[in-house]
Amino acid sequence: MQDLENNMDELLRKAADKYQLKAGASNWDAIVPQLVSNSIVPATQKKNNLKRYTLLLLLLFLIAGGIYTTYMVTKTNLNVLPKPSEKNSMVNSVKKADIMNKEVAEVYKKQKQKIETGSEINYPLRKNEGKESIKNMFAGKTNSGSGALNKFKQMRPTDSYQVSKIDRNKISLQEAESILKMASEKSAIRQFDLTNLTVPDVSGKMAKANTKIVQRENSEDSQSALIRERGQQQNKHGIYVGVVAGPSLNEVKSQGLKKTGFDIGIIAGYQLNSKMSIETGLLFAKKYYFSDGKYFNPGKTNISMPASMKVLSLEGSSAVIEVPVKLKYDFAKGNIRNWFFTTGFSSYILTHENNDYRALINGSQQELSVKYKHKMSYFPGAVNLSIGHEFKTGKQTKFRIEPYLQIPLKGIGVGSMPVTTTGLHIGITNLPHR
Amino acid sequence: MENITHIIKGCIDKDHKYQKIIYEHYRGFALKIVFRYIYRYEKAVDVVNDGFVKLFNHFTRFEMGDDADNEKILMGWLKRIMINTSIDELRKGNMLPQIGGIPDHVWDITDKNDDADQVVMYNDLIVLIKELPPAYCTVFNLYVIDGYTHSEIADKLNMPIGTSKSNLSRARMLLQKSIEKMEDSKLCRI
Repeated sequence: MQDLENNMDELLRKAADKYQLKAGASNWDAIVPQLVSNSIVPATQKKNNLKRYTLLLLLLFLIAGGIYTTYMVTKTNLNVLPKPSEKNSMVNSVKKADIMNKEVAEVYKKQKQKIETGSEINYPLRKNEGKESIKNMFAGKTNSGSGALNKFKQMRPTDSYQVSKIDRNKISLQEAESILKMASEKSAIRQFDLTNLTVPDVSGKMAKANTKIVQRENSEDSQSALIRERGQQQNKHGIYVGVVAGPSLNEVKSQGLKKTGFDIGIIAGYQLNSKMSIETGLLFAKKYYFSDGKYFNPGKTNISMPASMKVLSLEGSSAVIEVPVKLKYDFAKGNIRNWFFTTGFSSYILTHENNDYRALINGSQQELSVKYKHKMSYFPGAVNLSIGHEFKTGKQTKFRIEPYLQIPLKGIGVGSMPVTTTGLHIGITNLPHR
Repeated sequence: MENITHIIKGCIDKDHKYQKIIYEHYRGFALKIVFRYIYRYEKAVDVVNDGFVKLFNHFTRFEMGDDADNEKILMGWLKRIMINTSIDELRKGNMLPQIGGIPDHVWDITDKNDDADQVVMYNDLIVLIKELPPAYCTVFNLYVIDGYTHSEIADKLNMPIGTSKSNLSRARMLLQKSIEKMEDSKLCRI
């Protein structure tokens, strides 16, 4: 009996293998509409996409690198500033130099008055030879003079006074101009002590040293002023840029979450005043969502679906380029930490869409996976609301944590899916630059 | 036909050109599988088309092997899809028996040599299988011809394993009788 069964099974297996059946006419044309024509993704296009993503990533790295370099350069400049002990000694030197300058200036003034009047000079002085005599006197050609003059001589090298009063004034003016120029370059004009400049040179070395010290002091002051100004700038206008990224959760009409998406991109802002800023950006977002078929509405798009297809449910994912425009308000602003909220709109450019449908086609339930490569733009696509926290991580950078909510204004994709997004942006921005 | 691996890659990329090549090449093979399960020829052709739609829409799930193995893997996968689609179709019809005979025009008896008789015999045997009640026919096809186990059949048809075994046993009995009957009628003709 078993053998008979085996023989029969073997015979029927052979029959199933070798029976001849007409394949009939090709029904390819009937199949094509169900395959959805725009699902073709040529390999070359995939390579192009890869290139695009690589370029985008490279751009992000460049921006991040730029911000980091700016930060490092500023940090290095600040390190050049004198240390507190060094600063004190320099200030003391400057004070000493000031005292000496004043002393010398006083003596010089007295001598000048005496020479001009000629009354208290011990040696004979002709009426029109006053200036010449002073020159000679300062050049050491006289053997006599008052105590003050001697003191003055000791203090000042003779060659400093080989020039006329007018020349001296010229030199002082030139010096003043050059120092002023330097000082103005360092944005420290207000801090510059002009009284030092009007005092004629006491000695070459001392004058040089004094100038250097004064310059350093001025430079230090200018740096302080710079920092102070930057501090003030935080409260004023300025442009800032940054990089943000973070996870996102997307859902359609509160039907549940499917898979975590993500956002990555750059942001730029302009600080309008101490509290308000306007922000925009360019973000690449990947959204994953799930929906019942009743929210799938292909009528609003140009995509043709098979007429007999009724979508029961779908799992979709979309690649979106997002351009947000937001108003940022800092409601609790400190020197280091800052709380803010933003509100605005996001515009979308949908670049890719993948939908896995569960659908009824010609009465039979089928699962279809369709890739769409079309660009659809939504302006504006969603309302943006967020609340965030910023804190300084360096002299030039701020770290930002910003939970956000995007409420759809328009449905996206083939089925016009109203995708609500909640997510978290984590990023770094620089401080506003004028 | 071009290199099968190249064609499969084209199908994964959802290129209609390569999908058509696969469809044209394996349509007959798929129909022979489906026709064992689906009684009506026209319905079987529709089921084959539905099976190909499923195949092409899920081609990204195809696991590539070596060049030499890819065709076998593809044929095995296609066979599984066709069987599943046929069972779905039978379920939709509540496994009800079909009436009417199989028209002659569906058979392809182009071979006019000595094997032609044998081909006719094979075709007759297939008709015998098809004439079994749908539940018996399905279990017999799955177990004897397509090599599924009773456990797999029970899972697939959502029935106890015992039912699968009893259905197979009854299918064999009925077939045996039918074959004997067929042989008797042939002898009578001679």
